[in-house]
Amino acid sequence: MVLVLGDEAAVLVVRDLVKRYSGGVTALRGISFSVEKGEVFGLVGPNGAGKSTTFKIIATLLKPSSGTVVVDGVDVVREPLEARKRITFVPEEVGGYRRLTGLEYLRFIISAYLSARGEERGIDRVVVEAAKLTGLDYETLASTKMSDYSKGMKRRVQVAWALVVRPRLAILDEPTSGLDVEASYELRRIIKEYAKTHGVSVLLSSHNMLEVEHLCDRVALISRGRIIEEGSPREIVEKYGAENLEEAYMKAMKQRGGSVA
Amino acid sequence: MHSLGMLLRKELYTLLREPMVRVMIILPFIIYASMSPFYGSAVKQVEEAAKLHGARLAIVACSKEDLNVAKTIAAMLRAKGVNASALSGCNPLDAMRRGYNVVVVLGKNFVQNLVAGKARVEIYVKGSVSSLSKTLALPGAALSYVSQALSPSNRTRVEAQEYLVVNNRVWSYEQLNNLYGTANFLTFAVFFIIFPAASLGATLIGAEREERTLEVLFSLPIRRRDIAVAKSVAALLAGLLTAVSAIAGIAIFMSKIGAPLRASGYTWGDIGLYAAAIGVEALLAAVLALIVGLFSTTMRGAQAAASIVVFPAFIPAFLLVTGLPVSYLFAAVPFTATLYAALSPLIGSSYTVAALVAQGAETLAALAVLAWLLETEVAVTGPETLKRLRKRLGRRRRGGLMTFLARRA
Repeated sequence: MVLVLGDEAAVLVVRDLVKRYSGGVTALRGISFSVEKGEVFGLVGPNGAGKSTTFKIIATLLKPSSGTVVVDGVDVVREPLEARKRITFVPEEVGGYRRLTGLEYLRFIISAYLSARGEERGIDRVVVEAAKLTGLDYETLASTKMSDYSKGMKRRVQVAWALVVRPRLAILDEPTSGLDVEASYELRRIIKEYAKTHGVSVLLSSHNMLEVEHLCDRVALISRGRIIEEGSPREIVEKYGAENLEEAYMKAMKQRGGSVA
Repeated sequence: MHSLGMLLRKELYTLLREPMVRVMIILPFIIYASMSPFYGSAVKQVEEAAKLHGARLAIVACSKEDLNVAKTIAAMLRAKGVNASALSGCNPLDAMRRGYNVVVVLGKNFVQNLVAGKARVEIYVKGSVSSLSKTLALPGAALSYVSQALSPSNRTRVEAQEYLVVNNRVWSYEQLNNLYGTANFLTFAVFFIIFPAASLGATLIGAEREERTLEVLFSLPIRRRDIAVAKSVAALLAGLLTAVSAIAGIAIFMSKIGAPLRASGYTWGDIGLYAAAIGVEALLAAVLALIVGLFSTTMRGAQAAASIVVFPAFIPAFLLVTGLPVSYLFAAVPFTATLYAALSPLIGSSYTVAALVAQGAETLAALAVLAWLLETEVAVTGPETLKRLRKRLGRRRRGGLMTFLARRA
């Protein structure tokens, strides 16, 4: 089943997604949105709004209480393994195997994706591409264990593999968190390039509204498990008569009962 | 002084809130407390054996001349409360068939030799694997009683050859004692393997959470059951390396103390079964550790939980000192395979094979549970799930206590 939005086939379709944890906490209260091919979509909201829960459900780490998530025509609950072949997920808290070098880590992850697609022959080429994309010195990647990497270096390694395996959908939870200005700028450029040139759809979250405004084609504002606004950054800014997305966000949160704590 | 107190409080909080430290503190108590009933029972067995309680003793004479001496000894032993009789015939197995479990055969020309101060007897004890401590203590006790009966002042020395009949096979005392010592050693050596395997399993899952790699791993296009198998097998292989190192060390140790494994009655087949038993038990320990590791936030927390979970592996080994149930049903109890393997020269290899089959099936079942858990949300939310459960249980317990107190009031 491939869901179609307008002329473009939607890569991700989220419909009426509800998530209740066993302790009685309701994290998502029926959210719906879709991401098109090559689109960079931002899910923006305060801490605890439900962004990470949404990402984890799409990445098949959590199961929804109700609602559906379809990635590239595959229902993530019914066929999680098939869905995972089409998704890459970089969580908010970046890590890496302490005893592996950056290059070994990249090879492990890239091999998992390419083997699942029967493309083992391309592993070496894609590993080199990922190594270049990290912007890190090859020697460092090949010889230094990840325990010695800074948070920023780990983040660059993670985002690199998440894009080079050419997923249908890359889920990046705060991809530039912990990076310096230069590295953040470079990473935003890369994300945009992979979305536009290679058709990788990107679903990301960020607390940096300037970044969201610059990077995202469309944005959904989420608060207390509900999407309270959706549109292009320009549309949202205009709707709230704001000067920029940050101001529009603050106004939207106040007006629609959200929290900006 | 104030700052020292403050610092000390901080250090103690840090230490005592560490799960591994708590386990370290509590584990010696648990180990010794759980050992005590087994060793207490073993000591009681030996004490009873020393008094020949429950023994049916036969003094067997090989000639008519010695039969009178046998009758005298039996009468003296009966006076001391021992159930003793005198028999003729010189056949200890025949006496055993008649229901005697301790048979003292007087040596040929016993009276003449006794007068010459070089009396000899052969002592046969019919024992069982379920009371090896008692079986091994009985010959010494019988010799002591007979010697005292013959020479209360201990002037005459009585030499004895001691034999033990276990599982219809006659063992020399030295042979069985040697085997028992080796079996004990081999059984307890397992802990050097089970605990590392469990710790490795716990590390493999705890490290994923601690190094923040778990969510990425579970979002990869890899079957979760493959993750379960890969982690278990990795822990097993590392555990087996530990086993190889342990067995090599044990072999060197045993040969240096004059009891090499082969001399203790172990065939290469027995040693192979022992190695297989170690492998299965190490894998089971690793899988159990992986399961509990899913609910831990840190690596050390996972290791602490794993060491508690595999602690029952100790229990079957304690049975070796008190009495091992030799049954196919008991062979299905987890962590008994190495125990049966250690005793295989005595009881045969069929129990070890049965234990291996049963515990292999249990390991597969545990692996299936692990694979199933990895398919569920628990794989990601394990620590939170446990926290919520503990909170709910705590609330219920407190609620129960409050209701109880209210009713009392």
